[in-house]
Amino acid sequence: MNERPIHVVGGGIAGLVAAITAAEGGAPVVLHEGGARLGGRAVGSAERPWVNLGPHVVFTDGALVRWLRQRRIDVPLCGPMVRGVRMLDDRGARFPFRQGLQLLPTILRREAPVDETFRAWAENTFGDASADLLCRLGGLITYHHDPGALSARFMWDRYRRTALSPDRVRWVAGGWVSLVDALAERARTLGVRIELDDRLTPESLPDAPTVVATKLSGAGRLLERDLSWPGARTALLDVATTADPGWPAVIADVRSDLATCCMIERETAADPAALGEEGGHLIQAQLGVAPGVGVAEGVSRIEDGLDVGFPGWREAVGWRRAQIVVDGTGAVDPPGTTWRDRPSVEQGDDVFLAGDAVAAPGFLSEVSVNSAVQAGRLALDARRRRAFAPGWPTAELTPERRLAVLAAVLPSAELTTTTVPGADEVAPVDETGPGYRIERRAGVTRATAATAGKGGVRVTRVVASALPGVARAAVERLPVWRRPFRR
Amino acid sequence: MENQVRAAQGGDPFAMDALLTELAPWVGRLCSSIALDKGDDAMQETLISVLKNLPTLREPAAFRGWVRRIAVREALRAATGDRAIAVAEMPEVAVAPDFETAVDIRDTLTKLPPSRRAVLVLRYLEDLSEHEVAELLGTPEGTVKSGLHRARESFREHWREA
Repeated sequence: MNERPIHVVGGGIAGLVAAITAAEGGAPVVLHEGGARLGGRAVGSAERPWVNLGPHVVFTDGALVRWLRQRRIDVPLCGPMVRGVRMLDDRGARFPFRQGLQLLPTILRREAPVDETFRAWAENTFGDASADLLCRLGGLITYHHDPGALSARFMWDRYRRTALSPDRVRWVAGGWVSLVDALAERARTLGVRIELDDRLTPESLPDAPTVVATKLSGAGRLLERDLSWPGARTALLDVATTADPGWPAVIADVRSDLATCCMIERETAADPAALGEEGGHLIQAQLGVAPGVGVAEGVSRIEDGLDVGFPGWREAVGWRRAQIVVDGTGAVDPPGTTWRDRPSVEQGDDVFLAGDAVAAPGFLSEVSVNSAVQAGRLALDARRRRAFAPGWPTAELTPERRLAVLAAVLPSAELTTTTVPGADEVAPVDETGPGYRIERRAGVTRATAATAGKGGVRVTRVVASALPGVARAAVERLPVWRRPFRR
Repeated sequence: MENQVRAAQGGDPFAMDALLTELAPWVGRLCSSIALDKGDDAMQETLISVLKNLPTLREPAAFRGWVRRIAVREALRAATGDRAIAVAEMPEVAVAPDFETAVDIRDTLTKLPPSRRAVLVLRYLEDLSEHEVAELLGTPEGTVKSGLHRARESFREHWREA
């Protein structure tokens, strides 16, 4: 058992997380990166790796941040950025009060169907004007040129995530390269062997268990099978400027010539060091573009928005970078599909996929983290099975057993179990495994497990707190938006 | 792992939870191999005992050995129904397991008494020396040696092939 390593192909976020997961489980791990540097799409160009490829954010309640916190991997975050947010519509650029009011009723709507397009469903549910705005705003969360054509459930889950908790948006200080460096350092600490400039072919693919954490197209070539899923095609414009005459922090350009939204962020408003140069400022913009639209056309539409929102920017340009990225921003689910229909993490013969376009829950990079943790765990299991085939008996720590353990050891913990009749599906909650979540708020620790069974979903909760009775009762009554099940 | 152990010792619920994630596959395998069908319960009791007694662990570097000891104790307790039976007192197996035709390690383990399973698990799954196994189980080294002797050749071949 001692030598058989787990091989991870691809040194982006997914590959690093999968490698760390496998190494934490005690396996020797070899990480093969085809390029000269770790990080994949999380790293900018060679000369300015800290300047992300387009706007990048993380969510403090998401799988990535929670996974990092659980491991005490310190990645500096900045934000939220509430001031200086403008929406540019046909009447001009203003703080989005009016749009906020217009969309207020949408917070009451919890679920959306899988089978309808977002546009059709939103028109029936909220009326044409609100639906139109919602479809455009979808560009902020999908990087897609026509978000209204995607599955209503896909869009609605993401819209609710962002619309209900804009305060949870953060920027990685120093660019995503700091995240990559922190992950790489942890991987090395755990003894992961990192091979750079090691581009594998189907012939040189090492023995399983293997985690393939490249883009789907690369994984398909390596495994010689058809792996694909719709993604977005996005024009990116990154501009360094020498001046900042009080420009806004974020502009969402939703003018009516677009079916989507052009997002323009002044990164230096959130992270003054984002440009990595003294005295400069960094503006990054993204716009989903249809197939066939070239860089020049996409970028000139982005520049229109800059002209309105950032007057005088053209004179202040230090350097600029324009490009079109294909499938660079994760999977998008068309009507009739959910994340479960994407290429599966389990590819058979102890080969596993990880990345932002495989079958795992979450939002943008969270899909990578969730799939990578799952792939890393499955590879560990596979390695154990292979080393000891036909296998020593094993016991699994189910979410419910985990809660029983926590209830027994956390101070003044209470365990409750309820069955929710009619619920048919356990919502994927986070990277700790399907149907399990642990969170801490105001001194109260809450762990929740959900298991689908006959007659509904069984929800088990542990609430533990060192607070005195009254304060505890008050905190426990704070609303929790996310439910661990679907009806 | 050591940082996580320290944080869990301080009562950090996230560190405890992360520790559960890390320990579960290993502890689950240890417990199930010894306690078989009662492995789930043994694992749960082990993890509770580990987290409860964590503050008493002086040296986080000794964590794995300490957890292994607790897991073996809980697994033996679950398998023997609370009767503390020292390995030395265990009767020899009445019918020698047929290692040659054993198709499944689980099948083979089923034919052994729990304490003998513990010896096999510690020696082959955990890769401890005979001396370390004897020390962990509190039995004379000779008993461990003789217990292993019969199983060794065929069992080891069987595993290596796989």
